Amino acid sequence: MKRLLILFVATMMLLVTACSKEPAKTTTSQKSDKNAAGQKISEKPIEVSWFFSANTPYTGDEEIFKTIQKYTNIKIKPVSVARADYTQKLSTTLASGSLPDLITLSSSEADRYGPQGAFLDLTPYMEAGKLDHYKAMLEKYSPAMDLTRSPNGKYYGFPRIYDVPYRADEVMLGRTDIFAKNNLSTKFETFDDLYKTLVQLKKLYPDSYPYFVRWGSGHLIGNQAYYRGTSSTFYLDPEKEKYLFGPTSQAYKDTLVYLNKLYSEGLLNPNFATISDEEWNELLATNKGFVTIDYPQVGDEIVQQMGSKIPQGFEFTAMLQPAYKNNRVGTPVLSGYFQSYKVISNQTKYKDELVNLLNWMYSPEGIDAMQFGIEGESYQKNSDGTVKFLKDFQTPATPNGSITNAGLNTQELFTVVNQTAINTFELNGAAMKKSVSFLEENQAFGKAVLDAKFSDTNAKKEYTDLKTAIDTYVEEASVNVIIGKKSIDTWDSEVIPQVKKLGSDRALKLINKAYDETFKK
Amino acid sequence: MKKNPNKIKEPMGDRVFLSFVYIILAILVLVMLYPFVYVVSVSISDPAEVIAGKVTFFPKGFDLGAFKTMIDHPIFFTAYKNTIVYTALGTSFTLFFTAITAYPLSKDKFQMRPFFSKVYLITMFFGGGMIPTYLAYKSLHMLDTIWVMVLPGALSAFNIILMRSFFRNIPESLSESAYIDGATDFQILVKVILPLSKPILATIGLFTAVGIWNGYFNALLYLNDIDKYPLQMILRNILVSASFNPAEKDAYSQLNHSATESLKMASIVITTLPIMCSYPFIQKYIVKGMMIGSIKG
Repeated sequence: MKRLLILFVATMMLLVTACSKEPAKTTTSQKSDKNAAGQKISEKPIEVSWFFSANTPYTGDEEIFKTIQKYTNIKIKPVSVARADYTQKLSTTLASGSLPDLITLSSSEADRYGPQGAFLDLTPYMEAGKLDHYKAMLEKYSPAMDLTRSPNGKYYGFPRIYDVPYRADEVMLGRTDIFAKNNLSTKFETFDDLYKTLVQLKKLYPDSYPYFVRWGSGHLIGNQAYYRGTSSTFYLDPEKEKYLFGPTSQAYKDTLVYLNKLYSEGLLNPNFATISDEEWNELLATNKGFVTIDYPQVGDEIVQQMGSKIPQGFEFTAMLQPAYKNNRVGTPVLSGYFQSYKVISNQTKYKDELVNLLNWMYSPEGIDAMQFGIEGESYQKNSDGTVKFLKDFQTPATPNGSITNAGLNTQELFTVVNQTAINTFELNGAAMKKSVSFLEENQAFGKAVLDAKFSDTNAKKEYTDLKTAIDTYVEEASVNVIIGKKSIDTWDSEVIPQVKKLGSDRALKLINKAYDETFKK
Repeated sequence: MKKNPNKIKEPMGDRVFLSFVYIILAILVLVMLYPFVYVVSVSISDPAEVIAGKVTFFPKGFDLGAFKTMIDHPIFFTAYKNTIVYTALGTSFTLFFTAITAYPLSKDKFQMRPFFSKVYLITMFFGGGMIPTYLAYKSLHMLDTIWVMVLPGALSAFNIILMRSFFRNIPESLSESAYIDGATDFQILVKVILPLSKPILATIGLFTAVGIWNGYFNALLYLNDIDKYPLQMILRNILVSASFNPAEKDAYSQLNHSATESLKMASIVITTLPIMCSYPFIQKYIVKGMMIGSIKG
């Protein structure tokens, strides 16, 4: 028995040593020659980690990562955390000095940590012509180059680009089915027009609050102010090419008076400051709210979530925003540069390969791959240029698709979104399609506005601190006017002097200086 | 059942008082049970009914889709297994290390006792901070391993103090008689003290287990490998969306679209069920008197 045992142990030992020797050899032979990278994205199969935030943890087996591996020979090991935890995880990772190879982060983080040496400087690669697609795309959307450049004059980030003239952001939305049923116009000429319509709706549905906006009082006031050509804070006036402070304007006071009228007549949801998404959904689904300002995609989402329980004929699509003093302000849109970046860690073993990978993401092949997957396997292009998926992906058009987490058309992952992608994903939802074509017909879309960027961190901090204090104070004072606790007559005599005292002039000076520096005037 | 004619009637005042007590207790029970019932109801209701705000107490419609979505998650079972492993290992470590630390600290004959007590006490008030701690684990090569999930919390000063006070309440005569019978310190701890300390072991064990089971923060900071994620990381992804700022451009992308209310509640049910089931069984040790019949005379 003892002998048998010894024999067994001896064979095991032999096996173990034999096995452990094997992989050691292969790793030494795998060491790559750095200069051999050349034009190919990655000659040898490599594996890199990629840190980003996501609603659901990615495993690395998703369609998008298979696609990247297929086209580039690079296997991605995703490190994804919930959005709420993203900042914390990012700061510990940065502080610890052991970075993932690839990181998705905001422009301000790239500008802050890039010059400290955390991220790969792209300037030499750009000069060597290795970032041709990247450069071409950024130059197409001027001033993307200026905005991407860090204060120290170097480039660290690969910004997300909306390669379209405009992509809808928030718009005025409403229950168009109820409007049609009651013969009400969805094209508001003036704010008074909107008010009259709300009064009529209240008569028809007495237990409703026709105007209902979610995400707090700031969102409610901000939108109303925006469509009057002003803002509840510092904002860029694209015509004057400088920043102004909204609350001092007559338009802002008109906003507050208007909202106060809606509030006192029961036309505005009185819970506007605290309403949750769930409550808002409920109001929408039970005919207790009709007009709002929100994202047009919601029109499809709610239909999908409600399923068969949706009220007969339910439709929640865009309306035409009212004009203020004969000027109809276009809805906010996205186009070109967006301040979400991808950066390459300075510690990565695969600098050349990753530069090639990111450059590829700006190329036509890369854009399509990141949006639709592998051509011929995941999708095919029809003769008219539209995309037909060959797999059962979940998209707005196919909400019950079995592949729910493909990673395609995912903002944290792709770098460029083009019109085909927007048509394929967003605009395939019935409500979204209708909203966008309605807004296009009525020329309701505005132009993309790019904000100033601070090059001086101290100035940025000073501005942010001042702005936070001022915004908080203005919001509180505004809500008091809306709910009738204070008269609008006190605005100029009490609120504005206090705002000045809090440093609004100084903040305005700082942001305008930053604006001039950013756009090289 | 036949009423006992000789039963002493309670005075009127007492009966009024008692009925008030029962009413108040009933209200309390309702207040505490309602959230649980609501969570379960929403999780098995038709999502459409939930959106319409029709689910208040009892489930409306019946739909296990949310549970299916949870279970279909590619790392669901791995994560579940990880959580169980972390909880089991972590709790055993905690109990073991706390017991062997608390025992000497409870003995007066241990001359360094005041010094070591203070050393442990200091850790209750001063911590290393997030990043130094991270760097410490990193240089210990603990990142991305199972150990970072089970070792760091194993020895907490608070638990040591709890257990030490409990040990000190056990009459010294028990240890003394064991000494006379020739037992070593270790034997006394294992054969005399610990069997008498089931209530404190159960209490600390339960708190630690619940803490590890519900914990996501260590996993968030110290784990990058998705195969090592505990269940709470998935739960957190589903439940918590970032602080949402509608003033930002493209804020829409910050919204958590994927999770319906039913899915959120289903994930809560799935993750809390095991711990809720084990509670009643461990609780009896906590309630039980500690020293029944250990000393005679």
